[in-house]
Amino acid sequence: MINIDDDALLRQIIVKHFTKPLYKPLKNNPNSIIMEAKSNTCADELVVEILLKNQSIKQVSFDGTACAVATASADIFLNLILNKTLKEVNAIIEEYQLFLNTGDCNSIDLIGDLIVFKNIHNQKNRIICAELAIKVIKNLQ
Amino acid sequence: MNKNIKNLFPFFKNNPEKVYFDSAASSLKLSKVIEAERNFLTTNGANPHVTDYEKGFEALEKLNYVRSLVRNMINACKTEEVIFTSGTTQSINTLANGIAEFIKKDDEILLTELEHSSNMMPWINLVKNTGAKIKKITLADDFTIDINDLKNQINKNTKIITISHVTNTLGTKNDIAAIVKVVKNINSGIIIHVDCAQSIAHEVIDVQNLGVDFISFSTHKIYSSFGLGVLWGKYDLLDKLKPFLFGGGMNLKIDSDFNYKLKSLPDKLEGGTPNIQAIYGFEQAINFINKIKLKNIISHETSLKKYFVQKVNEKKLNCKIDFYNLNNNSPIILFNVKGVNPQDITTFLDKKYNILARGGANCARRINGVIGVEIAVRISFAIYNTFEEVDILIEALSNSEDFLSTII
Repeated sequence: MINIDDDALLRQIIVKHFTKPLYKPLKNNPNSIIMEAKSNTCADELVVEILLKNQSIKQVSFDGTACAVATASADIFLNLILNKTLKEVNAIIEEYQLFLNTGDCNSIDLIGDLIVFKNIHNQKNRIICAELAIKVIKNLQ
Repeated sequence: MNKNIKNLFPFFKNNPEKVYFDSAASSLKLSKVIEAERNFLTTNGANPHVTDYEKGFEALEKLNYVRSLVRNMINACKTEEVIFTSGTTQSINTLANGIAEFIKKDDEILLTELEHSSNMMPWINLVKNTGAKIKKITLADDFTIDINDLKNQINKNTKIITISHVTNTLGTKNDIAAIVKVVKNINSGIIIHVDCAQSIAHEVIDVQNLGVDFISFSTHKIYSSFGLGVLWGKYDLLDKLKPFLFGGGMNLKIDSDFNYKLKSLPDKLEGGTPNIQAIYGFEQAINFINKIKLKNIISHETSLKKYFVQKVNEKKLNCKIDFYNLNNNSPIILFNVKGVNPQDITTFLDKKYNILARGGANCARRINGVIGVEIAVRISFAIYNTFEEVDILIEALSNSEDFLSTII
């Protein structure tokens, strides 16, 4: 479990997922669903690729250019939902969006490393970044 | 001088800790502008198209008076050549739509990749509807228009050249008078439009000296309100434009067969009720510029840029920051901190240093073709900025590796 008071560690996690994302570039699997995540308010532009099998996430990847918050949140989120069912993904998204908007979290286990965005609720303009990729995945529900 | 200048802008009274470095997007508003608008709205508020009573006529007189002030400001031949619009975007759309019936298949419109979307989208739309073509103007090494190459790009199909006076990203200033001379010597019939949105508050603009056919600008870039702009054109050319907005105030009559007769310039290109309170406000902005004098504004802004460049060299910020336009005197700085997205830097500047700056494409979508990056951070100066504020920026950029400290 991450110590959520260790800001230096939380920053390191963001930097790691921003500079060396686990799930870049796209896998280009012909059976995947491709979704575009383009911000209406800034130049952030991501493409997310999801392979679904029996309502379960079997492969994830993404590509594009975006800020540290949008890139790291996409990478952490994809890592979190791999091998989960759509129902489980939906529960994570609901919890994460509540967390982004209020700073409150009912289950830290559910959102995992996304806890690094604990202060985003204080910066309303960055919530858009922190949920850029997540919002398009929500469309899978 | 600048402390007194700051006192003229209520923003600083309400936000004494803020450093406003985004005047290229919108300048801050003068208290006299705000007072004039408030005064009109509280003591008058009548429609300038209604002259049955004194208050409406008073508004109409103000509208025409401010029109004459704009004429003087840009040294136009006639007051009727000044068309009020909602801003630069509507000005250029008025021109592009108004000229459409004179554009044929294979005609060519020349512009640069540094144009703002407002000087690109209307022309893209025009060529889609007419079968004409857009051609890119070649830029020189300093990102200004390469006049020698422009000569070679002009041919019998060239109909319009539409370019920025000063570009909104790199701040490059084009030598409009020289360009006009070259172009008109080859073919005097080529229409030259200049987007003055970025230059109106920072350069002396004399349309007769420049020799251009049309210019456009917005008042929110010049210490005034949103929702007001100007399209200026040479009378004979302006008079040929087909109106873009049809409605009240621009027609003389509609007969029983629904044929209409238009008013003369400027009314026929000003369909609908104008933004009259912004016109009251703009009078005050023009008075301010006339009092302080543009040459003094230019001198101050140029000094800020030079001071910034000096500090960048002293601190060796070039090692970790890519600067794209330190070589020109424009009050704009465009840069990227290596390996960091511009939005992360603008958040850092805002949250940690109270610096308001713009990041992203800056509405210039084709800049990648010029400097090889699509997005960047933009700092822009205006008359109210100070050397102390530049010092804060330098300190912030020196500590840019801490950019995530504002996220966590």
